Amino acid sequence: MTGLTMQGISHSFGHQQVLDNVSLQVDQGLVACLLGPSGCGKTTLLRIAAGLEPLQRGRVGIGERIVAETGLAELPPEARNVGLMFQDYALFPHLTVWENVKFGVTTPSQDRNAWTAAAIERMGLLGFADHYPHELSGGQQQRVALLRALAPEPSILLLDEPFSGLDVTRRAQVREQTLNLLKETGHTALMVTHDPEEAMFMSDQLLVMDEGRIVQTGSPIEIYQHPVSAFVASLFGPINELSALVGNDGSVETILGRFPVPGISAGTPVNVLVRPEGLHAQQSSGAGSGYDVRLRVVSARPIGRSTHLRLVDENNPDHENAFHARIPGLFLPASGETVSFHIDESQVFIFHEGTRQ
Amino acid sequence: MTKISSISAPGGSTLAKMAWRPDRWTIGALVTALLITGPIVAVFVIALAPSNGIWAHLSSTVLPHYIWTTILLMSGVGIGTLLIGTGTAWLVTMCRFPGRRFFEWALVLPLAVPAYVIAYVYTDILEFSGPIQDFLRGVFGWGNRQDYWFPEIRSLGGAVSMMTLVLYPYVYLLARAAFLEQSVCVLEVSRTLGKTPWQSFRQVAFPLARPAVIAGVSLVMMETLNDFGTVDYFAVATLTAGIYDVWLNMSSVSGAAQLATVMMTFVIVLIGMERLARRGRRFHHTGTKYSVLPDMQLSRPRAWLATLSCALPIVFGFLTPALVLADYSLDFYEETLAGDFLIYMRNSLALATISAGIAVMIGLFLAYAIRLRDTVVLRAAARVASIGYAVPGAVLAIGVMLPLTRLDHAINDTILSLTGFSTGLILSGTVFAMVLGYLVRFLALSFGTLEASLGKITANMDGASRTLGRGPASTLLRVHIPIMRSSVLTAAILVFVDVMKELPMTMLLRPFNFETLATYVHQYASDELLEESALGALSIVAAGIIPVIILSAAITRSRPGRR
Repeated sequence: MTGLTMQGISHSFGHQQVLDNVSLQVDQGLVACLLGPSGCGKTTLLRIAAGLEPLQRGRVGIGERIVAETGLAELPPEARNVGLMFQDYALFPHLTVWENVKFGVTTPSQDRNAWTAAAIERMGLLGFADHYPHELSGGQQQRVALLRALAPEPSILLLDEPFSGLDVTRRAQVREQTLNLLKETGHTALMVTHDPEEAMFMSDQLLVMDEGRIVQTGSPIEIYQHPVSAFVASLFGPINELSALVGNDGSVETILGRFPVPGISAGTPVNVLVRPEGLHAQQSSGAGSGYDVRLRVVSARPIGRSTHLRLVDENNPDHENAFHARIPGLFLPASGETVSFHIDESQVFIFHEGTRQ
Repeated sequence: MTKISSISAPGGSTLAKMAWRPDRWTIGALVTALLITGPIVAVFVIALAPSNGIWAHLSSTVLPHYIWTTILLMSGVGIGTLLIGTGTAWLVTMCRFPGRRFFEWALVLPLAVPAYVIAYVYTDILEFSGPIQDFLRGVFGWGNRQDYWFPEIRSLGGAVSMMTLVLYPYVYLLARAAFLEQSVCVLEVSRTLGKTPWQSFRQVAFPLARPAVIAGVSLVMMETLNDFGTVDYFAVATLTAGIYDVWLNMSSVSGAAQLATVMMTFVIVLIGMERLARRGRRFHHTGTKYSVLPDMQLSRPRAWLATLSCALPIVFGFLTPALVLADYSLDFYEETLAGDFLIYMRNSLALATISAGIAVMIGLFLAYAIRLRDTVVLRAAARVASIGYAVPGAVLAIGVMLPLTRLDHAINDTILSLTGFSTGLILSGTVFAMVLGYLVRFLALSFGTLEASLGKITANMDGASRTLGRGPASTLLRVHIPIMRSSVLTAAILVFVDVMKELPMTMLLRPFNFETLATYVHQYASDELLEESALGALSIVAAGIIPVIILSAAITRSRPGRR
């Protein structure tokens, strides 16, 4: 059973086309994330689903109902039974926490009251029920906004960058709390974010968007391991990029090694992308064979649980286009030292040059 | 991906085939705007009707005189308020002198006093038989008019002085806001380039503040054009006075309407001036760096001069009339209360309350309709409906009266022919006509205040309420209005007070034997009985203080980088 379906959605603001024939489907009870850079149209898509943006072209279905379709009068937001959590929370300043959360509950019942009270306690807001939003911290406001959206038992929950207003240390904890709550209540959710780590953590289904189109859909690990384009591959962090020509033997030869390129004819220029975490350093002699890429260290910076290395080819040092490696744990070779690396081929992605999608 | 059509099969589509459904809010807003602009359009229509040669008669006799006098009056007041308003605003923002913090808000006080009230007071004091001349004659031993010269207050010059004294706060407020907005850097640069304070003012600060000052002067001129009480009392023949004369004495409504059309050209020029000035303000924002403004410490003698310059407008514009009226009230309150004073008070309060209530509702409705459907049509409708503040009360009275009269006659004739029963006049010459007139004139106050306040509420609030199940109307009631509470109150107070003070329109539109405090005071003053109606005048001033208090609170809060 599908929770949310959007078909053939196109949308423009004036002459600017923001969405181009976007279709997606979120199954009941799952959490899906729209991941993409700012301006790719993900928030607009969310607002169309909620009914806050008038549908120009396409079809939107929530649960069993069509709520909007080209050429037909659409269901207004108040009739769609959709929960929406805004980036700036949009808590009503003139109402207390309790009144905010209960705002959408038009037919109060014993059950809902009990659930609301329990949820408030679960989220650590006990004792704040008669405080006003401005008296709460950012994290507390975020939780109130979430509860407010969930209290009226919506068919689906939409979240617009729900954690971007929180500072980094808070974020992980609140994220986890939110995900637990969603899984517990079993709500279908569609979340918009530009943070890839957040998207991977929260979603059962990941949809990558760029410039008004959905570029790839799948589970987070699928997209991480099998990106369909350079754009998707580089979404998860800075990535090493090399240009090369396909050789006659169907492989490319680069500083970081030789990699097979099936299906691409010889002489075609390609981009070879290697994730920083795909460079494994030989940290002690006798660690096995396969460490045949030798690179000179420019700098080694520890960043907590991993070390970030800047590397150049010792024969042809090009400091402008240094390579990056991310080594788990602490590994601090001296600057100028040469280190041997083994490249994990599952972290190497090869695409035609010049294509973004 | 499953085709959505299979999902929709069970219940069938719940969406109606889309016909063009006229949208409640847009229609409501357009109808309202139409009602409000109706009277203004009516003036033009009526003016084009044949007038039995009145126009020719007017233009060959009094029209040039009316026009010239009006121009002189407006120019005089414009210059006077420009000097006092800008000068005091500069002193108060840029210089340090004793009492400066007090003057900052106190300079607004004369706004509480309507022009006609201050005119009555000063005439009373300064006329031949008044206390000042009495005193002078006693001291210098003069006998009668031939022995000395004393300025005649009942003159064009007198009218200019009176209006300048109570209208300069408009320029003061806008100039002050402009000076505060100016980036500190600009002025500091000016000083480091060797300019003296006076040169800084003339070459840098004033030009930057010019748009705001022009907007202020336009407002002042609109109020001058509107005035009836002062010019009537002083027998200054302006266009407004002419309208009354032609309508009431010559019984020619179309002649009055033609004079009104002439006035509309002035109004259009003034509106154009004000709008251009407001648009110019955008380009005069030199930066957003706010810090404590550098105060120029004035030398001792100059500082005291500054104090004096700020004190005088308050003393003459507010203190004197207030004290004189208080004095009279104490002497004569028994006579006042024995008369129909309480009835007039009740009338004023009722009219003001009703008008304020309706104005707020219409203002909210228009502002919210624009928020829901931001279309060109709606914005234009709102702007047109807000034009009333620029149109003189006398003109509006004509525009309200005549269509209503015609409507009344039509209703009467219809019912007469149907039932043989004559309904008489049910709309014109009633409180309904007055309230309509007030709405047309003061809607801008309510709409402007509410629109600004509504704009501060983020769009996501609307989205939150809608997704939580509340429709647009419910959202307005449960989210927007509670958040905007104080602004709604402010809008209501502004309209309330302006209706209390209103004279020109009330004079023309009131039913027979119906007096408000304003008309009562005007009547008694004209009959040389100001003392007896002083309590009424004082009540009007007291009502006028309330918006001044609100303004002062806003002023003290508006200092960036509060010291």
